[in-house]
Amino acid sequence: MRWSERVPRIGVLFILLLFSPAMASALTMRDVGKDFICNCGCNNLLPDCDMECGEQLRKVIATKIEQGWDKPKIAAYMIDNYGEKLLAAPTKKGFNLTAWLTPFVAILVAGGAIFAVVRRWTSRQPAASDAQGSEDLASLEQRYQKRLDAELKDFD
Amino acid sequence: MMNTLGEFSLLLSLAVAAYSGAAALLGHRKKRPELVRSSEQASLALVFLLGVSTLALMAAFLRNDFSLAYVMNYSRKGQGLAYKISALYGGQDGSLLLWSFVLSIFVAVVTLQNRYRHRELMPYVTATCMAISIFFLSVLNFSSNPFTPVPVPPPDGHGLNPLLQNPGMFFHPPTLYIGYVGFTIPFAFAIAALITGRLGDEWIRSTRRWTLVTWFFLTLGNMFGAWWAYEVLGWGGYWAWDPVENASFLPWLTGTAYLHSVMIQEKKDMLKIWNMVLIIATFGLSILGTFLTRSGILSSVHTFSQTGLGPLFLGFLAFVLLVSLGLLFYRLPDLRSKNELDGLVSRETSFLVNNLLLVGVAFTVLWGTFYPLIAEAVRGVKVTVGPPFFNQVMIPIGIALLFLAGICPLIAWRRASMANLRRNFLLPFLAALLGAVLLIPVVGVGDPLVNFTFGLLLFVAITIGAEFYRGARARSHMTGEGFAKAFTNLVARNKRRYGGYIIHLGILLLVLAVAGGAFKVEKDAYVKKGESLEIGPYTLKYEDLVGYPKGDTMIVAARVAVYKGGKLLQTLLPQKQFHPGSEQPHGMVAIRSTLKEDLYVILASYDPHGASFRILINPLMMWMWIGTYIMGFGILVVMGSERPRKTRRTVPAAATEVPENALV
Repeated sequence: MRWSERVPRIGVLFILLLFSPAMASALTMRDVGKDFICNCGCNNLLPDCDMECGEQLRKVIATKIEQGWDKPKIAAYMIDNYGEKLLAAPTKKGFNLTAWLTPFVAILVAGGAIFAVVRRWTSRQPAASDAQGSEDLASLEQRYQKRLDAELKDFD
Repeated sequence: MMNTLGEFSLLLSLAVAAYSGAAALLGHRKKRPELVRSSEQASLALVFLLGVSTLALMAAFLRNDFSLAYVMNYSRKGQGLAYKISALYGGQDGSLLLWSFVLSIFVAVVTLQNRYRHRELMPYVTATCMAISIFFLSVLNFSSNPFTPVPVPPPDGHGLNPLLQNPGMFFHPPTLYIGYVGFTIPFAFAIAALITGRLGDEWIRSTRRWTLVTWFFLTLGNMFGAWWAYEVLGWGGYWAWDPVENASFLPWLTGTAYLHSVMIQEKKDMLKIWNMVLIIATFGLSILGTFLTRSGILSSVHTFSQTGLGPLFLGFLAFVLLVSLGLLFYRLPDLRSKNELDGLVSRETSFLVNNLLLVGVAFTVLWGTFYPLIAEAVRGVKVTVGPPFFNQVMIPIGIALLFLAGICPLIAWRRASMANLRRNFLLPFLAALLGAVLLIPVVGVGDPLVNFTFGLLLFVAITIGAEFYRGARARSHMTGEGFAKAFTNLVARNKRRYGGYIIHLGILLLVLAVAGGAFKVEKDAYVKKGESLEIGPYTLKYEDLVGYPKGDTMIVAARVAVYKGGKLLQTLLPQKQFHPGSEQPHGMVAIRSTLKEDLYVILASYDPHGASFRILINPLMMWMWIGTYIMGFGILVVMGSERPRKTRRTVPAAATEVPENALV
């Protein structure tokens, strides 16, 4: 068989494997449970909770995995039955988007304000060439030597 | 008798605190220095009175005096001596007593330190500290009294929560309290500066040492908490973004921002308003932490500490914010700086960005912590904001902060040019890039973010290392000292700068341990006796189940032999502990720690034939604790530069003078 014929066949085989029931059954309780939090107040992720309530919820998930349910279907079932509070993080849609976006928006707005203020300050400074005033033209060695001179003077 | 003495002493301390605060204000206002001195003597007496109360309560624990409700609830006869002592702060009443006692000690030390210094600020420092003491002592005396008796003393007590009977919990609360309480002192100096109008850097210089010590203890408190969670809670992690954990992280973040931004005020006489805001926020967040712990307003693993004191603390927090922000608003015109920054790219600007990110992280933690309340108010639906949220949102901000820690030492003060940046950045950048490529065989290329983080860690480590190397080399050339001696002298003569870098190195190791979590391996398995399981390079053989008493606790432990390459490394004993008076057994994990990784074994359940285990390989975990030690060492180095100057034992003429712009 030539390569030109082999490649599409391998591709089809790969896609079939990807969506085969065998792959679906590879879903573990940990894969699904890590998106949920225990509802007994311990605030642990479901796979990490060693209390009875956590064990019960893990059993529910394990049963659904055995029945061949996929992750989104199990998640929907868990939310329907136990409420949105069982999710370890807010969904990224609707009002809950504010939970995800607000920190970044706040930092960007504050950062923009700082940038504007610093720019205003620096624009008022007299234009200095690199040769004037700025310590960055001095080599690092010179900078340290200056500091050392001062220190040694103090020391003496 | 002892209990009565303790209770009386507690009541008397409230009166003394009230007198001390009033006398300080009145003495200053009426220009009567003897009254100010009297108020300071009263603040010293407070240490004695609260010391008596604390000792009386401790004696009640040691005597198994179950006639006190507090002792009955948090101790029992068979409880070990160490945990009878730690039971003192195992509940709310004792915690508040310890808080008040620690605050009184701090105030006394400040008073003694400043008998001949800062005489203009001290009356208001004393009054502010006393106002805070009055709140805590009122709560203690009238709402949460640890000396409340029970009508019929039982033969034995309920005992301390078994989860709290751990060395980590012995140290976690007191170190955290010292951290929380310690911020009272810089806050009180800030308030005194606002009232008196002495708004230069006097109040900052006089509290730098306090802030450092406080920050150190807050760091320790958080790290003890993380260690306790890792060693005791047995879920394999160290930080769960629990609301109460977040509450102790918040003042640490703003306190860290403050420690950085005060340098700009000292150097450039700028950011005066911002520093006031930061210290007010830090103290406010300390109170908020107590409110969150005590109120139960948010679902938390710390449910054992919830009581009905939430509204009182919320009211106190509102009062603190109202007064301090009101004063700040009044002083705004005086606080505005006349100085400005010289360059858009400079060390000063990098400090501003550092503050932006630290406060940004604090805002994110606060937002995430309170979002469930916001969502419920808006949508009427309860939601949870747990680790997946914080981990996702924090990663980009954390990486930016890490990057900043790396570039900050490379940027010149005042103004940096492109040539300067190119010269300073090129070598560390290329070295880090090379290091990251060389690390690929170890860390793989599965997650680019992990490769980037490791590269960034290398970059920051190289820049910090280069600072030490260049400084020592330059000194060695100048003085003819050997490199090692030049290195030691360099650090010794500029402790603040190099101590800061050592702290950054410690934080780098912490981040390294966090980044190592990307390679965590987990396995849940049921194993029959005599059989083995494989995880990573290890083979774990479940040998037997053993049971034995330890004190009045019954231990059931699984003997698990750990092999690597066919060679027996260690036998681990993950346990279930059955404490008297506790309905559920508590797990005790077994950990084999090496510099490379922790093998973490949890006994989930057992039956006569076998046992269920949860096993994790946590890479690089030990570096988190090593990093903490290095941070501690760095703080000690920095504090070495903060020795108080010797002052003449004479009261300056201005001691009782009231500045023209003073409020009272």
